[in-house]
Amino acid sequence: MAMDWAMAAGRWLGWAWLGVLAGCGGGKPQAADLQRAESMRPADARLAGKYQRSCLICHGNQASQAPLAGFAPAWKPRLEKGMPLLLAHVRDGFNAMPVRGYCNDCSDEEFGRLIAFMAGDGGEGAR
Amino acid sequence: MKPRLSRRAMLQLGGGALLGAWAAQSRAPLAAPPAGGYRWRNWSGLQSCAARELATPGDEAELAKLLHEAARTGVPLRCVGAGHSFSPLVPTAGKLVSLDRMSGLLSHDAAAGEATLLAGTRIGLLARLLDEKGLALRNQPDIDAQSYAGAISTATHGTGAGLPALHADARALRLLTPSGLALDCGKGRDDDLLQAARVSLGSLGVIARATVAALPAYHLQRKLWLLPAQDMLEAAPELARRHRHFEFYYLPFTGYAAAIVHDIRPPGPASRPASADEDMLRELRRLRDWLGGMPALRRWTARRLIDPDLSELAFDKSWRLLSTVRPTRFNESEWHVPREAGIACVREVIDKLERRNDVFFPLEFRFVKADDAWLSPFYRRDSCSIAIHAAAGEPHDYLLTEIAPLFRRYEGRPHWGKLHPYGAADFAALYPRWSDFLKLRRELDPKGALLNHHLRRVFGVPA
Repeated sequence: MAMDWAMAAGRWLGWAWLGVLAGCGGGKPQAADLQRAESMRPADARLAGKYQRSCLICHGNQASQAPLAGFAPAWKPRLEKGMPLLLAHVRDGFNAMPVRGYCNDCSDEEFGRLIAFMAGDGGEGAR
Repeated sequence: MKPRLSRRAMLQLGGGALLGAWAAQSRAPLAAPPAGGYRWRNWSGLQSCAARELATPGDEAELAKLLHEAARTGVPLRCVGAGHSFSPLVPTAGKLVSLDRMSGLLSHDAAAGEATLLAGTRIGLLARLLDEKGLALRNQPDIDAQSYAGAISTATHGTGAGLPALHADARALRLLTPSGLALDCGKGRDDDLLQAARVSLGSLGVIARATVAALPAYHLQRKLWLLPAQDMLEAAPELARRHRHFEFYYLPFTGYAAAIVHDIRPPGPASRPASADEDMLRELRRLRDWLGGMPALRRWTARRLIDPDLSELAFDKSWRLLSTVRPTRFNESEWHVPREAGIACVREVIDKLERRNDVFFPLEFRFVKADDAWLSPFYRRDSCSIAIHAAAGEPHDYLLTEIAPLFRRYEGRPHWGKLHPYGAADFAALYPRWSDFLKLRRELDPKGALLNHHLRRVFGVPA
């Protein structure tokens, strides 16, 4: 269902800014961050293909409330919890992310590289 | 000006305690699968299964081999896409097949207005790939994570009185069957098979590739505004006639509905306000949590808070506006009723819904043009679609026990991927080509290799 009604209704109620991205921390992405999230891809072409068809749907779109690709402040508190927990979240699903994060042919190693790429730690580079 | 609650006021009323509950909807870890097996769960968490295996074929030869094995061994096979179906179309104790590796655009022909793609391509990716070629889908569903095959197989749709569902724009399909056939249909070849395969619930074979209609890329302007609910119900048919896309959302226990229209405009700089969908949903839920036991006070409070004069505009490429992402998980039932009965039906549904104080999710009302696919809920019937939701983890049985009987009186056809209580006898009465479809299914999959428990009930096939 589309709930774009809320774009206006949230403001009508005057509550739109309440609790935005609770738990994400690290401030709000700016226009440049959103543009970067749309355009960045892993340097590895094979991984880039998986990223584009699986991760980008949510991690390139702020409306998903998933941590935005390349926006380090959103990823820092998550990385601090450790890669094993993040991998478990991908395998089991977490919040709106389904089991295996829309990538049924990704290995754990590839999930780790995709997380590192989105977290912007330079692990995979970007193009 | 209407008074509005400030953040501080909300927190003083106890919102802070609720924020914690919304901060993270973690899920229980999936149970260990059978040895060598795979544990699957749908997006909402309602459906799950322990399958023998999750296979990800990389091409048609690998897919054909999997189908052959299913027919030979009797171990059933079901395809899984994004897991966005709420009805149990996927669960199987047999083998799951994902077409994730069969994804991408194979070719395009701007002059002919079409493109050929691998059927595992997700709608969101397809829209991006088409955009790179200067093309766009005629319409999109409001969620775009689905694989193309999964989306058309369940008659996924957007809104627009003059726009049919996604499957109607499938000009040709290639279907691989358990009996080892690779069937090409459409574009003058086996039109009956095309009309059967367009919406086939993964029961005739596995769709491997598709040729779809595509328009030159276009921009849309979106306008969103509020109306009192009664005014919206009266205005809806005319708004649907005047705008390329029109839909409305009824906001339970507020007395208001939000109209959304999209119309084509010349290209220009994008302008999109940040989405506040989740914040609004959170506040509707909070209003329910605090005042649900006092519906009159709940309505009064909502009316005092809502400023009906505000509206919003957005402008962007079509695919960026027509689809979005859903952070909050829910379960859903959706019914398609004859267009001329849509408003009368939704009036009854709203009345029924608001007898339940626990309801807070908006009701969605859309328009869809008729098409000719045999199992299309819009088969030769311009329709209105009415979708009702319950938050994941909350009771949803009432969608079927209390609301579904209303739709029966309006000859409603349920969305194939959403919750419904119907079986074979119900569908036989609703679909003129039902028996033709069943006959074709028996021919293409005589051993039922592509069936699960749910589909056996739907088609009336004994276990």
